[in-house]
Amino acid sequence: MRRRGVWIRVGIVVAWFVILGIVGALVLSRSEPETHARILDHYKYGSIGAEGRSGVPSSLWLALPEVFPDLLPKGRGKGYERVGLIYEKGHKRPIGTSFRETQIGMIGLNCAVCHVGTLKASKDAPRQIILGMPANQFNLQAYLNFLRKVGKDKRFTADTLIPAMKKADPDFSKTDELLYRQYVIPRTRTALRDLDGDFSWLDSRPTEGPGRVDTFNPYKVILGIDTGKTVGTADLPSLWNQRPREGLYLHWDGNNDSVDERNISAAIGAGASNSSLDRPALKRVKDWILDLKAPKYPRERIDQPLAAEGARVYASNCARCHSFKGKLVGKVTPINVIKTDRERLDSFTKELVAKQHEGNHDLPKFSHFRKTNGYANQPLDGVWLRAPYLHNGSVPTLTDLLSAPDERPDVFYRNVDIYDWDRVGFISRGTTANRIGFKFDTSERGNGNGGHTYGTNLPASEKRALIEYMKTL
Amino acid sequence: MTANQSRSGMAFAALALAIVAIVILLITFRGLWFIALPVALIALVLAVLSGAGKPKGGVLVAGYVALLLALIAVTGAGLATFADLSIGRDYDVYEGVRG
Repeated sequence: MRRRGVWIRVGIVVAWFVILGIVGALVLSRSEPETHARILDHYKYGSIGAEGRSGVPSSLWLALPEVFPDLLPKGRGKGYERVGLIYEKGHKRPIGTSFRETQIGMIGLNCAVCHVGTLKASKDAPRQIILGMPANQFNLQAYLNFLRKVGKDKRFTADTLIPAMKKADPDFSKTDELLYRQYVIPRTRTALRDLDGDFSWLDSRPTEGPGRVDTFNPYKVILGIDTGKTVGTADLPSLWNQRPREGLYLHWDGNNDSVDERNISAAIGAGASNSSLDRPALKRVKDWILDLKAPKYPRERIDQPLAAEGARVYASNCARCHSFKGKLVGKVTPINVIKTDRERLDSFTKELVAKQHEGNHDLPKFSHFRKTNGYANQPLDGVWLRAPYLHNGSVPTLTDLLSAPDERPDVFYRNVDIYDWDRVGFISRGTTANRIGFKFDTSERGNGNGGHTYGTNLPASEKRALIEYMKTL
Repeated sequence: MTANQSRSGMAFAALALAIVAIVILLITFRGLWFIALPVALIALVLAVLSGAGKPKGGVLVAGYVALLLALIAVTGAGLATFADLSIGRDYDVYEGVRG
């Protein structure tokens, strides 16, 4: 009886922690991804699970450009538009970003960030947003560098950030303030400093520029493989017509023939991990892009008789490697034959393949990756919107691609979404390009514009016809 | 010292320590968790032990108030510990950047 009082109090303590544990588990397990009934909206704004590994707290993410505008690259637009993210009217966040409702709410990236591009028919024409197109305007490296700089900036404090968050979000409560001040802001800062370390290898490579990404060196960092001096920068691809791509060798170097694995690998690139990946959400995207068609080149701008003539030139010179029914499409042409820049090829190594197939470090266990000795022959659907050309985006237009390598421009400008209807590609030279574009220097490592000389010896009339036909693909 | 005096001392000591732990947390939040956490745990143990025998009146009330405050202090200090350990050591409690 004398110890009864002690046991009652022990019971209270146990009950307290049991209830606390249950409440804590309920709060911490809250994870509701943003989903949309319409697949178009889901593609643009829905979650694929990237917030779980690399998300940034929502209120903070929205406030960062307001607090650190000087750390964004100079250029068009404001806020995240400076790194090429696209805003639609009525949306608080840009295309390619997703939201997950947790106790604080996280923002991550999704497929659309790299696979939605823009097009203007002329300088003053309205901007068209094209789903599935390579994100010719998105500068992933600039986005990462912004976050890296933010994490190291002395202004990254609660006193600086909280007023900006309150301004951006009228619902920002006192509880939010306490949570952000005591945990979220300092924790995010630590995570951003980790990000800075993970991507420090970028500083010793040529600037990637908009519309391009080094896909596999980040994998090496996760897997503990030395990135060495390799430069794996390549153009962002389109996402159209995935069904006929099943079984073809994918990625620029043809290192994988599974569309599923390619999709999962890309989701990892967008920031997901094996445990955070939202497979049902990714499947929705996968099913949709199986038959997503590339937009047609404006019919009134095609000389149909000339295109018909070009179809014959295409059939005899290009179709074997580039038509969906071609015998060599999706197969790898050895580097000593294709002779395009080999940096991307060399950056993907046997060691990386072995590690990818182990499935460690919260990465999926892949089984279809392989090391190749060249670049894969790509189908050319929607090729008119896939400029600049070659795997590294080193040749601005189809006209240039059909010129001998030494006649292709050594320096040109990317990041201009005004279409060049004459040369077939985007405007890449002249005053506008000079003013708003990213200067692409083909003498930099990984940027070589040599090789792929097919068609360069055709008579000028056949080249014109071929280009006219390629507009129709 | 009688058993009653000992229980009374434990109850009031527990109350005092629980209040000290909460004050430390309120002033420094996660900054001094390594002091707040052991103080709160000692307060909790004393609050439990002060229930031995049949405490009455003020001692009984003090013991239960100490228990409640000690539970709050342990929970707060536990959260502060988690927060501080997961944030990293390059960021101090005053939001300044070291180095």
